[in-house]
Amino acid sequence: MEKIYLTKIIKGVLGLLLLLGYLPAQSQSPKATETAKFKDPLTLAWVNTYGNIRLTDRFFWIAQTHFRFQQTEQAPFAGQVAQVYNRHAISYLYSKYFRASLGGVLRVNFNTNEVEALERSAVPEWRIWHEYQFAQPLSRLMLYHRIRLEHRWSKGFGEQSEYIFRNRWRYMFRMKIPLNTSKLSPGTVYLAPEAELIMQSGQSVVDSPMEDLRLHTSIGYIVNPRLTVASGLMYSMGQELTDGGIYKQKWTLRFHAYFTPDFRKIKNKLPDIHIDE
Amino acid sequence: MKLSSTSFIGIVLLSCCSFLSKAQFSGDSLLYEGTYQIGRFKGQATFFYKLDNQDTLLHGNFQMEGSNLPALLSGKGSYFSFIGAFQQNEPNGQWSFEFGDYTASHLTKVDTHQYQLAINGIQQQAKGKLQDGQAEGKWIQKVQRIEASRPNELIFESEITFKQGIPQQSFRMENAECVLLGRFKRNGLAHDVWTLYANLETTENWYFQEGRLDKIEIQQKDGVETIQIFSPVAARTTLIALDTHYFRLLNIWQQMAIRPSSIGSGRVANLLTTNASNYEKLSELINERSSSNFRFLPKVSVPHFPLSNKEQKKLSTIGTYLQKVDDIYQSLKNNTSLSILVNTDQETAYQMAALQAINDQLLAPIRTLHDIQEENILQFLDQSIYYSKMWTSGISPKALSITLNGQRQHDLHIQTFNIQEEGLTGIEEMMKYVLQRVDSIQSILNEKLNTKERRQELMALEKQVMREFSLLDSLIESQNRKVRKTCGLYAVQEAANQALEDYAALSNTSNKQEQAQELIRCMQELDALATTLIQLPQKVEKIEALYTDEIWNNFTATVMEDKVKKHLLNAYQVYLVPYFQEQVKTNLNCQNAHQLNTQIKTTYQRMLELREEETSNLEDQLKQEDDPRKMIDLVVDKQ
Repeated sequence: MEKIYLTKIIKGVLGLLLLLGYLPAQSQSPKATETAKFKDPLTLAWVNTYGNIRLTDRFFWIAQTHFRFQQTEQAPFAGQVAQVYNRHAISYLYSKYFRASLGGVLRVNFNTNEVEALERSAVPEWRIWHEYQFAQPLSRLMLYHRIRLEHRWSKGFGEQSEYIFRNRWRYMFRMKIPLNTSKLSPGTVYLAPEAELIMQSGQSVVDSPMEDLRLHTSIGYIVNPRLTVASGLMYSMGQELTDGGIYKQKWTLRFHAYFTPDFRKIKNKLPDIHIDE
Repeated sequence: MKLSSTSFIGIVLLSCCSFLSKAQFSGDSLLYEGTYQIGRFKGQATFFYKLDNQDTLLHGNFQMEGSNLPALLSGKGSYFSFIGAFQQNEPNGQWSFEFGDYTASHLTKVDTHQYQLAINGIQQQAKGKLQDGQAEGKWIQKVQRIEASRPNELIFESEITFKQGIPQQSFRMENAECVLLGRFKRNGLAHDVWTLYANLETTENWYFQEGRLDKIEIQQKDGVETIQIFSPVAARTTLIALDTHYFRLLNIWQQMAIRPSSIGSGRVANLLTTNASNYEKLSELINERSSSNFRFLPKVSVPHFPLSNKEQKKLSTIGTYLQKVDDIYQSLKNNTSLSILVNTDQETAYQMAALQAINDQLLAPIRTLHDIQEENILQFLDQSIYYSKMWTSGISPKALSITLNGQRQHDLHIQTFNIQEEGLTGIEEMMKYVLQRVDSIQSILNEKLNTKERRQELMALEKQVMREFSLLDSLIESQNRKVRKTCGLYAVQEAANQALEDYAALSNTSNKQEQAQELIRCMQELDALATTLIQLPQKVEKIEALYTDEIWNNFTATVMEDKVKKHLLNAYQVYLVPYFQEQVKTNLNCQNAHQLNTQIKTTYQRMLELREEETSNLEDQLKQEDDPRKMIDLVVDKQ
């Protein structure tokens, strides 16, 4: 039953995304470019911690802190700090197959360009987000469909820069494939390919609806049910906000640690919802 | 209105006195009314008493009564009533006693508020005067049968006059058949002619002279029979009670005479003993509340041949020997195996017959002697004459006739003893000899018993061994080969076989029985161990499941299993269980099977318990340990 639900919603959202992609841009006469121009890829390194703290049988607290580094001329990947990310939300576990979350993000963006006299070195960015995740077991793999919607207020580094508002529409498809065991369990080494499409919309989005397309594969190791570590490489590309014909590319090395503690002082920490199908 | 202090005190005193509800003043005596107990008589009493410091002195009229109505209504009930008086805690005055044992007969009358019940039974009454706790004046004892609440039949009656507790002057005793009239001297000695009348005719005349019985004249159909009393002549005489012992003494005297005779019909004795027992009942009661000794003690004079200390010791030794022989005799007679053996084995039958002969033919006179000494009348017999008369010509027999299968078969020759000459010493030696003979008979019979019993027992034990062994075998064989291999059952089988071989190799030693029992125990323990081993894999799995927690991983959206108390679980799975299996395979024998089994079971049990207990300390210790034996100690001893 959940699966039917799932496919319907996916279809709906995808449809919506596609539809948005075809909306004609508001402002006219962009710079006329005949071919798309792909910038040289940047190298980045991300160190991400993901926390999923169980509060009750059905409520979790998502607490993520990410450190995103960017190359400098001297050092690739992690030459400088690019962003520090703090994402929090309350998540509701509807069933084994579906959960929804709602929360906020504070991201501090550091000025990775040459800091000019009138430019700020760091600028905060605020988001409200909600996401809907579907889990689908398939033989020994697990498939995940994640739909995330963010409402974002960001601004540039310039002194006069004002906050702009954008909506982000994100869909991620991910797989977790256990390699050395028959199912995901402590001691499993798994392969996790994922693909995420991030679309954006808003007043300032004229001809760059596709903000980011991320393709990422990681290899993870489940230490125990409460701790997993993973690492991978991501290729992402997306349209430049100001000019849709220019595509930026990035290669990111990612290092993740996932925590799922359960600090509740109760006997049976596994509620029935996990047992009943 | 103000109260003056004196009137106030007066009021207080009066009110205090009113609280002393039971105490009423009568002269300087206090009255008690309530439950009371004298000896075994419990009832309701009303009497006067005085207080002397802390002591209660009975003083004044006394009345006590008791009856058991429920017992009477459901079958048989008893009744008593004592009416008399005390002075300074001594019974003094006219007393009347009544005892009854009744059954309910029928209802005679039902009044407005009362039921009147007729009773049947025996009523005993005693009336007389007590002076300072002693009988004084005429005492009447009467026992009669009551039917429908009316006296029906006289069972016994006696009338005796006392002075300071000593019977004197004439007395009369009668029962349904006869009447005895006699006389006591002032010192309580039987004196003069005592006449027994039956149906108003004289039947017996007993002639006493200062307590000494001279002769008895018995009226027969065809004349008078005179029985001379052959009392031995002694330098001294003494006074003894005229009781059953005296009559026994008389009998013995008569038997010891050259021409033995009896002492008449025994009716005199009968009357006297009935009277004595009635007075005994009273004595018991009265002496509970009297410091002097109330009793009826008529006396007779008898010759006295006192026994020296040495003689008494000898007699006591003889008594001990007799007891020993009796014990052996009884135990052999009651031994069921022997009684079976008697029918099958010649020698056993012979020995038992010999024992019987010794007991019947040889010991009877010694038994009599012992009884006489126990009754304390040997001292009134001329002992040397008595000893010489125990066997013919004073010599103990030299052969006893053995009876086998009801037929006289054999003569058992034994050592003789000249009792006439050696007296008690001779008897003592004879008893020693008899005891030796009886002892040796016992050893012979025991031997026979032992061998036969032991052989039977051993066979039974060995059968059981084989039963246990085959149980063990079938248990192991019933498991499939894989189980047999992994659970170490081959080793258990091996151990059982080895134990059996060891037992078979034992020669026929005296403790083969113990060995057989040991072997049975061993088989049972190996069986228990095999069962435990078979269940061990399941138990290990169970422990693993118990120590596994299920946890939801919200990232993978899956339930994952997590092991808790990992060090403890590891210790059990990786160290202890393999250690047990190792021990079974390499080191199993009868001695350690039980211990191993217990170890396995205890550690499993502890693992179950430890799941819920605080184990961080234990796990720290286990982390540092390597030796399975120390780990077992840690796990099992953890409180």
